[in-house]
Amino acid sequence: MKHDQWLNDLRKRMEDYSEPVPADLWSELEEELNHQDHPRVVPFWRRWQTVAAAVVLVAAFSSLWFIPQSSSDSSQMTADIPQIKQNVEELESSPSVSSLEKTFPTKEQVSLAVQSSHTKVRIKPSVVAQQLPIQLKDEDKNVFIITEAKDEGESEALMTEEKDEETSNKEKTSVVEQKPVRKDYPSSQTQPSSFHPSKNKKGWEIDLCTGGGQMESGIANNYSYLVSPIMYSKVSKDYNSQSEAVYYDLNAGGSNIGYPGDAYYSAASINNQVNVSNVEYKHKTPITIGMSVRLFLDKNWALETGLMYTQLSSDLQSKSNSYFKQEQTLHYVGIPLKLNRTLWENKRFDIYASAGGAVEKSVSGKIQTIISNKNDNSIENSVDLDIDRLQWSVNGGVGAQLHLTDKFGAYIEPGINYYFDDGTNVETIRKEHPLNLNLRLGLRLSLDR
Amino acid sequence: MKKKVCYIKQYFHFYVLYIIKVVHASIIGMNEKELAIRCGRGDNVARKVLYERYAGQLMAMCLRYFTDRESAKDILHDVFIRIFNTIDGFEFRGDGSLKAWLNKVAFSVIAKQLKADSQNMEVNVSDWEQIEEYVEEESVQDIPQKVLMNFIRELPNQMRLVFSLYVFEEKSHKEIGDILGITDRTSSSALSRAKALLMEKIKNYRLKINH
Repeated sequence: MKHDQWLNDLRKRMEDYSEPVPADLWSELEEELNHQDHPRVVPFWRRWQTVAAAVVLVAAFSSLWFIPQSSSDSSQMTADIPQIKQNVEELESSPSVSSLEKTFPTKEQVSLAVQSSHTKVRIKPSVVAQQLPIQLKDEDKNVFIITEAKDEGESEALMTEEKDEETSNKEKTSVVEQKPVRKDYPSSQTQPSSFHPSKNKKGWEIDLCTGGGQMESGIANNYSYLVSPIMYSKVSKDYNSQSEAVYYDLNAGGSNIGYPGDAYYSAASINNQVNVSNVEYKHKTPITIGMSVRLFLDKNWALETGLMYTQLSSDLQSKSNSYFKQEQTLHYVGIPLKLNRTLWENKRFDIYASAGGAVEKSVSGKIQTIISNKNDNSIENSVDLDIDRLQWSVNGGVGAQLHLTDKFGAYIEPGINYYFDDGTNVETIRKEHPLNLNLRLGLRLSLDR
Repeated sequence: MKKKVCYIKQYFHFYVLYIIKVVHASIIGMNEKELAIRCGRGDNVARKVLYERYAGQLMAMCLRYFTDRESAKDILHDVFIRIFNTIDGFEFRGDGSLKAWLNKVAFSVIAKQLKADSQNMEVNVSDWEQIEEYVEEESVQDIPQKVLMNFIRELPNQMRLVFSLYVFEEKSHKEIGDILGITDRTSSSALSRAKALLMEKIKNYRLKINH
């Protein structure tokens, strides 16, 4: 361009001139580049990453099935009942202590029937008996878990069978009764309450003395009870040693607290309602953490799956009775399956929308009950909660993901979930508010980009 | 312990700066150097960014030599393929070096095609005799780029090619002759005639808009 200023000017003028490019050019380019870069395009279902992901999922699923199952399904229960029935009959017919002792199911039998509940009890000195309401399992059976109290001494759990009693609660003394207020609670008043002090029956008692761990078994005058094969509780009546018997008795009619001086045998019936009346549930917000794998179907759409862990934690506080408090913790492991759509992308972040479903299984759970009495003594009891049922849910949300490396990212995803009723009676935030918000955090592996 | 704390403070500063840089980059976008490096690695995101930034200008370049849009598109496609395949050999040398390199690559693809086409091209030199060779120079500053581009495209085929190669690609007449299969005298003649034609068009255009 020697000496020609005009031509130079023209060139400079047109330097940044730009023309519109046909819209499909990029996708053609991309396709060709992909073919160049990945000459042997293996369909994603054959890549090793998919195989690895599938193996992980299968392992996760199978581990869920191998977790010790709650064996307290009805069949097992009913199998034990005949045995227990027999014991009770013997019980009634032979008043002597020694023969009574023989009728008591052995610890092994008890533990067989109680297989699912690994109970641990901590007893503070002066505290004796407890009986705790727990809601378990599939049908509307509410089962009491009665713990096997272990002191320095011996203890024994007894099982008797439910009896239909017509005697009412009126014969109880100094019992505080509350009326059930949870209307949605399936209430069947068909069975009489679990608490039947009936005068002419023979019962027995186990005495867990704080003092020396002696076991006295004597025959108490007044009481008989209804008991579930799984649980049972014993009460003490040792008035002499100033121990205070505190127990908590639930029956169809209400919840009762016994105070020192009462000798109550309490029991629970398998057909009885757990009547946790007047109880306030405070559910804490669940948080889910997870690891997930995302397979891209095309540029913007991806299928996501993985593993996630959620902890549900709730507090129960009995309003009518401030001495009663429960903390429930459930751990869920789940597998989500979702569809993702990338909304905006950058080299560092991407924002996406996601929708899909998940199936979860409770892998462990615990209800810790704390009962205290007037004098600030308290019993704590932890019971494991096994929920057999799967929890299905659908969810949707938007998320943001930070690309840590080419394939790995960390994400945060607020979303809305809807949890389908899992058919158990366990009360969690998912039952109370099936539609709720939650927050998911985790790491994600993106494949096939 | 004090020293340790010092180090921690230092690292913390580096970390903060790094975070700022990352955020800044994600908001502003990749600079030329980074773009080139990442494309060289085969990063599809970077490739797309490069495409979106430069496709328009490269398309304009292709259209100078191939007036038919379909052909221009094909050429552009080849250009980008060549770019992405060879960008790993590109060394960033300061502002504008990427663009210059891209132009160079594009030109080599275009020239190849022009050479192939020139076999079939007929040159009708006789038409040129009618054009005056010397013309008063018109200013181009106030004419829209698009209009100017159209004027250039309206030039007879070979004149347009010669003109573009000389003005925009800054090739010598000899080089042009090699590409187009003509003598450098023909090339220089074509250039001056093209220039004259353009001047006339600009003049007429200005007259039109001033009315």
